[in-house]
Parts: sequence; C-alpha cells; structure tokens
Amino acid sequence: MNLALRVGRRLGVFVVSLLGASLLIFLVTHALPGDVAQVLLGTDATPEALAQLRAQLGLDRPLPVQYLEWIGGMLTGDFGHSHLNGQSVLALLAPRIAVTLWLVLFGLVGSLLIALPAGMVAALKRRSWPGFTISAAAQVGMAIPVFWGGILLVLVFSVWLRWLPANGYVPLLTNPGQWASHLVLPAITLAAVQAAVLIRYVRSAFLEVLDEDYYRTARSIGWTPMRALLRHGVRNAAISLVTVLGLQLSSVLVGAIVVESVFTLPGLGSLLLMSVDRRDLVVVQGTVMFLVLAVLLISALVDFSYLLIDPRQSSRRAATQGAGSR
Amino acid sequence: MKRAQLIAGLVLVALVVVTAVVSLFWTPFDPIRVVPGQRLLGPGWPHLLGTDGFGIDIASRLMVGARTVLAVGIISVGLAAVFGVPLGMLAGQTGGWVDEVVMRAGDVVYAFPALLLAILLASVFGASTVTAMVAIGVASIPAFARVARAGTLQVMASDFVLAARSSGTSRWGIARRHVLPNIAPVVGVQASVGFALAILAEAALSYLGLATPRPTPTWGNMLRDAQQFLFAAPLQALWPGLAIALAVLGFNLLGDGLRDYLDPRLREVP
Repeated sequence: MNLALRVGRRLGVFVVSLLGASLLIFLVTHALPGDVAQVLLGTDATPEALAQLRAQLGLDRPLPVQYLEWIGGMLTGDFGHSHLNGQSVLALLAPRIAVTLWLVLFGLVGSLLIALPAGMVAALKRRSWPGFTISAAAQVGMAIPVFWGGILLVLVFSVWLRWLPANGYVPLLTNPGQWASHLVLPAITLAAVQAAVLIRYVRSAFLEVLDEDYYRTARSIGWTPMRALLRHGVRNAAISLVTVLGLQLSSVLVGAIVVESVFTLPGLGSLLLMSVDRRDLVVVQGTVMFLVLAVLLISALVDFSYLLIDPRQSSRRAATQGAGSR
Repeated sequence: MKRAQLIAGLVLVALVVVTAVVSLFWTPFDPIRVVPGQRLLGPGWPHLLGTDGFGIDIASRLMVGARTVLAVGIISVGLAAVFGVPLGMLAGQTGGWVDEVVMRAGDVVYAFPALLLAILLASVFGASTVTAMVAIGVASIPAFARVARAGTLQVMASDFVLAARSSGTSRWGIARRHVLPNIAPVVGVQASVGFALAILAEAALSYLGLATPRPTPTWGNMLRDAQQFLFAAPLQALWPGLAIALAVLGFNLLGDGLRDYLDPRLREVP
C-alpha cells in the first residue's frame, strides 16, 4: 500500500533522532558548566594559557557555531581529533570496531540460541517443573550483573580449571584458535545475561500464540504442541521478538562495553573508558556519537524489517504497548 | 505462588534497608581505614568474610555499600519519576503533536543507556556518585513517561473522566483527581523495577570507575578491587556480587508481586 510513505516517515524519525542525540551529546559536553581547557590544563593554569588553548580548540566561538562545525565535520566523515595526541577519532575507532562487533554479534546470536528454546519450553510446560525452573532461572539471571557473571566464569574456567585465558585478545587473522579462545568467555557472559532478559519475552510471545485460534485448530486436528508451535508460532512470535531484539540492542552494546572491561578486550568500550580517564573529550564525544548512530541505525533497520515481516503493523509502538515499560 | 514472590521480594528489600540503616550506627570494623598487617585474609573469625587487598573487613564494607545502593536508587528513581510521570501524563492527556514530541524525545533518550550518559558526564565533571545518579535518573525518564502515558490513555477513555469533563472539571483537576490516583499503582510497580535496574547500573558504573570512587565502599568498586586478586583470593569476588544479585532480585520480585497484587487482571509482563 503506502509502504514508501511509511519508510519515508521512519527515515524522517531517524534523522530527527540523530539530530536530537547529537544535540544532547553536544550540550552535555559543552554547555554544562565544565571547561575542557581547564580540564586539560589543570586547576593551576594561568588565564592566558587557558585563553590560548580555548582559541586553539575553537572553544571561544559561539556554541551554535561550534555545534554546526561538529555536525558538519561528522557529515564529511570527520569525527574530530584527540586533544591529547591529535589522532583522528575515526582512526582510533577503526581497529577496535571489529572486537566490539564480534562480541555484540556472538552475544546476540548466543542469547537467541539460549532464549528461543528455553522460552518456548517455558511457555509449553508453564504449569510443570521445566517451566517453573526456566522462569526461576531467568529471574535469577536477570539479577546477575554482567561483570560479575564474567568474573565468575573467569574464576571457574581460568582460575580453577585453567582451560581458557582470563583476559586479552588476539585478532582473527593472526591466530584463529587464539582468537576464539579469547572470545569464548566474554561471548558466553554477554549471551547468558542477555538471554535471561530475552527468555521472558520469548515465553510471553509464545504464550500468546497458545491462545490463538489457529494454534487450537492445529492441535484439534491432531498436531503435537511442538509441531503446531513450530509451524505457526514461530513466525507470529517473530514479530514481537524482532521488536524486542531492536530494543535490546542498546543494552547488548552496553553489556559489551562492560564485558570488554572485565576481559580487557581492546574494543570501543575500552577506548571510551581510557578516554574518560584522560579527559579526552573529543574522543569521548565522537565515540559516543558513533555508538548512538549505530543503535539508531539498527533500530531503524529493525523497523524496516518489521514492515516486511508484518505489513499490517504500521509502527513498532503499536506492538510494544505495555511491553515497552520493561 | 504470587504471594510468595511478593513476600520474598519484601524480605530481600527489607534486608538491604536494615543493613544500610544499621551500618550508619555500627559496623564490625572500620570500613575505610587501611590495615597493612592483615591483607587478603580468608573468611573466619573475627573477619567473617575475610579482608580485602587493603586489610579492610569485607563484611563492614558490604554493609556500608548498601547505603550507596539505596541512595542512588532513591535519587535516580525519584528523578526519573518526577520528570517522567508528568511528561507522560501531559502526552497522554493532550495527544496530538505534544504527544508526538514527548514520545520522540523519549526515544532519543532511550538510545542513550545510562552508561553512555555517565561516560559523557564523567568526562566533563569527573566520576562521582552524583554523576552516576544523574545519568541513571535521566536514562530512566522515558520508561516512566511511557508507563504514565499508557495509564493516562486508559483513564482518559473511562466514563468517569467523561463525566468529569462534561461537568466542567478543568484539565488540571482531572489530572490531579482522576489520572494521578489511577496510574499510581503502575508507577509504583515501575519504581520497583526501575530500582532494580538502577542498582545494576550503579554497580556497573562503579565497577568501571565511573561512579563512586574509593575509599567509599560500593558493591561495584569492591568487585573492581577483588578482580585484581582473583588468583590469590577468589572468594572475595563472590560476596559483593551476591549482594548485588540479591538486592536486584528483591526489587524485581517486589515489582512483579506488587503488579499482581494491585491488579490481578494485569497479565505477567512480556
């Protein structure tokens, strides 16, 4: 029907969100009563030195001009340069993106591999012990902070069993075996914690299917519950699950940043934390913008895929009413 | 079953509150002062859970950590509710472009997890308990706004609001007398769940060095310290994590239990 209109509208929302996000980042780092020059030079800097550094960094110009320059720079692929060593932010990001990307990818896929079957069983067997056990495990899993989960895995697999390295990273092309062994624990950590949250969504998505007429019809003609769920349930449950995955994305990214820190992986998260330590505002600002761009972009893509899976739905909000509160 | 959830939640939450209050008056040992002669002791007597890398009693630090948890939770959830609930009510009652603007702004903030906000704030002001509270609070505003908006829409469609409107009650009067009391239960549930999320966020932030710094003990920064001695004193990494998990579990169970207690028609949240 008017698919093009919907896609266009969603694109508009994407652009406006991006502008809003950039404004928020800019306001926090520039308009609040903090002073980059002061931060860089320390409290005992002379007024002349401060003024000179501000002029050099362009901080003496009006805020709107600074904002537009920052935005303009990013549109041409220039996310700024570090105050400390003059390196471009993109050059700092580039070698680290792969690490974070692997982690997010394995975290997401792993969480689905755990949560889909577990959530389905929890829905089918909701009145007997497998259902209770899974729901209880998910409840406990949701209460475990991701970094503690990582530390516990290190305790078991690195400290006691000595099977896997406790930290560090080896690039895939350097040594695939080493690469894998360094990513196993971080990926499991992220996947397990994410799965605990997902299981509840999967369970209730399938519970809804169990109430549908087509499911009852399939059962009444003699199909087993499993067959009926697999044939009819999965596609219908997929609609709400794609939405949830989209909403989960930013929490997976946050989880990845924390997990990188637990296992000292050289990804975007460790770059961010390092830059915060050094008060390298331009790098922090550029990296955060990059991450938010990624989140907004993927959530837009999720919405587009949504239009394809279920053309009846015009917006994600319609499907997440009530669910959005969690 | 549901009642058991509520009671278990209440017990765990009460445990955290009592621990925090007791720690104001009494802890077994000094939770701050470094004692060089007794580093990394195992569990035993008189140090029930042992001592950390600075020779400080772990049980005492855990007790004091409960204070930070409650302080950060109360302030950040309060902040989120104070801004989020009126915004959500405004959006729900007015509709139209106001609704659209508020909800879109909420989506933008939603793309900013507390961690990214905390990173931005810490890079400008330096990491502290306050930057963590603000970051978690601001990041939680959209969740409260959504819950309040959904509740408001429901109330606005009811007959008693129609009656109030036709008898000339002002918008403000309807908001105060009809909407607010009716959405209070769902906001309460959101507050409990939000509290659990705030505890997790605060723990992660102080673990990463983006919130309360040493020597003030928090469960997160205790784990940060413990990780350095993972090979020498592995048990140290258990206690603070266990404390976080129990506190989060408590507030989550309380939230779920309250939800069912207040409105049995409400189905379990997806």
